[in-house]
Amino acid sequence: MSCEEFEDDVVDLARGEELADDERAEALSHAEGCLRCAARLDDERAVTNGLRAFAARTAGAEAPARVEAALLRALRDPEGVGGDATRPSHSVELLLLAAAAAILAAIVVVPPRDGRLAAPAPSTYAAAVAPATPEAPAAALAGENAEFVSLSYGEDLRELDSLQVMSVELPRTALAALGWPADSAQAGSVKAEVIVGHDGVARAIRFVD
Amino acid sequence: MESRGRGGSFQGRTAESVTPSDHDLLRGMRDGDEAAFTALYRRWQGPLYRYALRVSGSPALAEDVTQEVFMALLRRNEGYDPSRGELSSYLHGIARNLARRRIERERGHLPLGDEAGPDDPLADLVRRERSDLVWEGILGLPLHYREVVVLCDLQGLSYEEAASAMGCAVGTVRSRLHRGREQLGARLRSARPLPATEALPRMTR
Repeated sequence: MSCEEFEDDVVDLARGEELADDERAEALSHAEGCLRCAARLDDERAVTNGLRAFAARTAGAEAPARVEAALLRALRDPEGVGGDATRPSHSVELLLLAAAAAILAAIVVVPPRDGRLAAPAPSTYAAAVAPATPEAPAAALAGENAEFVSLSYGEDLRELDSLQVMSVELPRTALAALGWPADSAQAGSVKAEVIVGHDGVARAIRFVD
Repeated sequence: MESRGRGGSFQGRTAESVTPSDHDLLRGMRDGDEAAFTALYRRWQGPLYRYALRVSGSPALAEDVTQEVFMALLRRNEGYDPSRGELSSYLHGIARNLARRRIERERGHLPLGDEAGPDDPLADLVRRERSDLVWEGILGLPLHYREVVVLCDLQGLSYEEAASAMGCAVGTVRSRLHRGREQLGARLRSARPLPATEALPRMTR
């Protein structure tokens, strides 16, 4: 056996698997007479030992019980197998947070109007929130009595654990980007109130001037 | 290295009967047998969770991947063809694709479980093992080498099973394992003994 042929076999030799008996014997015989290949075999054996020890140390890791519970809920409710029956994945949570960060980075937070800090009950919000309709008359979208306009497309705000109202100020140019009628020639900003979920994602908005 | 799942009985079987095969359990699951699904889940959740954990270093990712593998099984349980390989390869293949997608998307931002409480044994394990040079070395490998090292050397899949899971030739598995282990060996040899605080992997939350 040449050193090149030994190199082809050294991983299998060190792993103790997937090598025929005669090939193994030939490889071991080569290593006995070749210092370089013997050292190479020692290195591979050290890697094998390290990996086996690590595998043994992590052999007890298992998914938390909540995963099984979520899957059983999905099994019992086949309509929910599309994903609704389970908790949002960590990746979805991260995306929501990223979206929230993007929205909030675009607005300037100002103190709440009239010193109001406490949010109304979620059901109040849900009743007051109108679906997003780009065709809605501009008059209905602004002013003290304006309805909140949903930003979450079909989500029932009553199902959220907690909500908070934030008073914000947006540049007028941001209105067009959000799909609202805006005169791009007008400078300055507009005040708005945003309903934000516990995850920091904006759920609804209304303009107050 | 990895246990190839646990046996167990499911609805309609006695304790004396043989352990149901994966195929039996899949068939039962298709018929809406919750016990069959539970038995299948409990047989495979551990290996799949450990695959995702070992390849990513993230308990949160591993939890998501485990859940999503079984959700995929529920959604398209007709997708498994026994003539094309063992269920182990099929499930590891789904886990591998899901984990790879997340790792590539969230590179450098994977949650590593530090948010867990001090009494969480898994979080303890992860915190302790992340300072392990072997895991650090594994996580430092290019993903295509890391996957093969984890599948073959930690999960105990044969070359054929790993090739089936990865959708590649056995020769590709062999060559990636060879190169991956070579790089891992070089990292381990070059690593000087470090205090635990210095030996953390180069990953950020």
